[in-house]
Amino acid sequence: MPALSLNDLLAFGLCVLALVALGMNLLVHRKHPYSGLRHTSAVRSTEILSQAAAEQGKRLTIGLGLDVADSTTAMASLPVLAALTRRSIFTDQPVRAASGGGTLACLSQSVVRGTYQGAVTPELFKPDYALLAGLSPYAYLAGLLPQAASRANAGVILYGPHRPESVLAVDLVERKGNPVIVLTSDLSAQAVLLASSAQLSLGEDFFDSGASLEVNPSAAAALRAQDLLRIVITVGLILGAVLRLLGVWQ
Amino acid sequence: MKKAIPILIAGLSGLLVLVALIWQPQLAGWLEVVLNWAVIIASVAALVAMATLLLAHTRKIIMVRHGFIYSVILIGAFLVSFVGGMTAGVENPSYLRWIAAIQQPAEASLLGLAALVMAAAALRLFHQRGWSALTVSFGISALVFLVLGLGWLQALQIPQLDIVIGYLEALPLVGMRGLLIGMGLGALLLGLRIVLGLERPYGE
Amino acid sequence: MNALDVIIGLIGFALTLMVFSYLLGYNFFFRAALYLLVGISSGYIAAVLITKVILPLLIAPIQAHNGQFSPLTVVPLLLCLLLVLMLFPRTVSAGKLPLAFLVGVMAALTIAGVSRGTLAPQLLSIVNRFSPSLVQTDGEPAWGQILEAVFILLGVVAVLFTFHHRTHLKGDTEARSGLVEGLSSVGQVFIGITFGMLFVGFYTTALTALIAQLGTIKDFILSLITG
Repeated sequence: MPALSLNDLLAFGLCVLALVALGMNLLVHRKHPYSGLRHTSAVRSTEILSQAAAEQGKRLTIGLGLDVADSTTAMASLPVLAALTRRSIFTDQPVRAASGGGTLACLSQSVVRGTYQGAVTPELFKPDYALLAGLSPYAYLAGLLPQAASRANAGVILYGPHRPESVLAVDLVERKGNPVIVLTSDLSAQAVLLASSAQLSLGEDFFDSGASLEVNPSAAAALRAQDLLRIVITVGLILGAVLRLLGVWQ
Repeated sequence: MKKAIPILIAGLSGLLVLVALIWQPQLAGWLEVVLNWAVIIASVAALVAMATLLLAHTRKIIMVRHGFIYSVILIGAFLVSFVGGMTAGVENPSYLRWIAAIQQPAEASLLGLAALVMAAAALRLFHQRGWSALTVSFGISALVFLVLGLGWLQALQIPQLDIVIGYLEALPLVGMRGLLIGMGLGALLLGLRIVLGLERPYGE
Repeated sequence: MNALDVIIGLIGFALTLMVFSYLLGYNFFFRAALYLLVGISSGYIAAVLITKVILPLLIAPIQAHNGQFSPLTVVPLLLCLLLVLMLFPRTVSAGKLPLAFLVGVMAALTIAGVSRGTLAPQLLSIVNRFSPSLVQTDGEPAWGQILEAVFILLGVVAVLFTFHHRTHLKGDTEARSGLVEGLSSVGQVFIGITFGMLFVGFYTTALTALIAQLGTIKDFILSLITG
């Protein structure tokens, strides 16, 4: 193994620390994994919207954002797709997903199909439930807009790496009188959509879905690990600053 | 057992890449092979996703469902640009000019439209979100950077003012750093959970 | 201006009008422009993927071995065949294996990329603001620089704690500790300032695109009139 730079050493240390914190929290909180954690209101709203859609006999459309190759954060939305699909299998209008890339579209197909299989109703699955919207960022937006405007929608959820141009999708859904929830990992998009009426999650709350929906104990452990790393980073920064100031760390 | 195979594949491929990234250049050859495979599979995934989309629109046309005319437009446009690319070559200047003739104005217009929608939305900011530390600082910051963006204050060339402008322009970087670190922690833990098989984005 | 330029200009003009017709409502022309964009870009990307990736990276190596399969060519070929099975509703689950492989590789790249490319450099740059070469001038402390570095450090910590998840039971409700709530309030101000700048940044880009597009249309109409 070649000699590591300070940057690489710090990166390696953070990875090891994250791994240890994740494992430790999984073990310690295995009985009540979700207790004592703040819930992200935007994620909770997806649940409420899903119930409202079922009551109205309408469907939810989920825009999963740009492809996994553009941003791996796209994978954070798939547990929510699975959870909402599970709740809509026996309703009149199952959830529809639109993806901004090939890998993400195939992943969403696999997730939706797996959810139907898990509910022992694979015959109810249709490929139309999780389709590609477009392969480039603008093609995705162009493909998403007609789906977001559908009269069959009770609401639209944009969950994944969405670009700021998705303000158009939010505006269109608003014009149709439907609610829209946005969870995006793109900071510019968060900034632009802060001025819209969309229910929005900010910053790293994007990663809260699995814990807020209580569908994956490891997601809750990851949030606790994030909290722990936050504290370690803060202490490390203060310590590093003092050592630098005193000239101990040149 | 059947369920464990994808978890094992995801874990092993992830570990292999991580190890190869650490043990450079000894494992560089392996890393190249694995990344090559990933590129091929991602490309085929894109083609499969596209085929699924085209099949869905073809079904719509055959069954003359509501809005089938849009499916005709989509499939027609796809065929024209696909056949054109395969016959003339994707680097053919004439072919690229035709593609750009459609993509460029449509994309630029969508971006321009976003500007108009944003302006309308910004005017309703406090009505939509109420008054809070976040919205007030957002509103003031947007106004300040809009003014700074015009360049009038910089044009005055007052040294004291330039110092203040320098501080103002550096201010958003504080929040940006904090946000990036937070997002980074989230992404790091998501990646670790996937490699460990605790999160399965490929389905149960 | 030749005939081709006129046709291309007319296409651009028509598409611009179709997209901006959205301002009058969600209508046929707007939708037609959207579907046209999806179709054209998909066809182009499909052609690029086949000619630039599938043929040279998947098919050519097999042909180079005179049709004989080596492990290096057969593995991606098999994984691709499994993916193709996803086209049929009954065999969608066959795609799980290649997708798991892809997901594993991407997760690993994320771990390496985020830790080495985002977290470590960001943290080091905050600490490096306190380096003696920056906070001292002629051996004397430069208080302005020190205050600035402390301000950045506190701002980053406040933003980080805005998203703290841990809550404690306070009476009947779960709430975060007073210190975290205090830091969160400060953090929100910093987030608001950052978002304000990002908002203006994107708005300026979009406005520039709008002006440029309208300029192109104006030039096209003028050139049509003047010949």
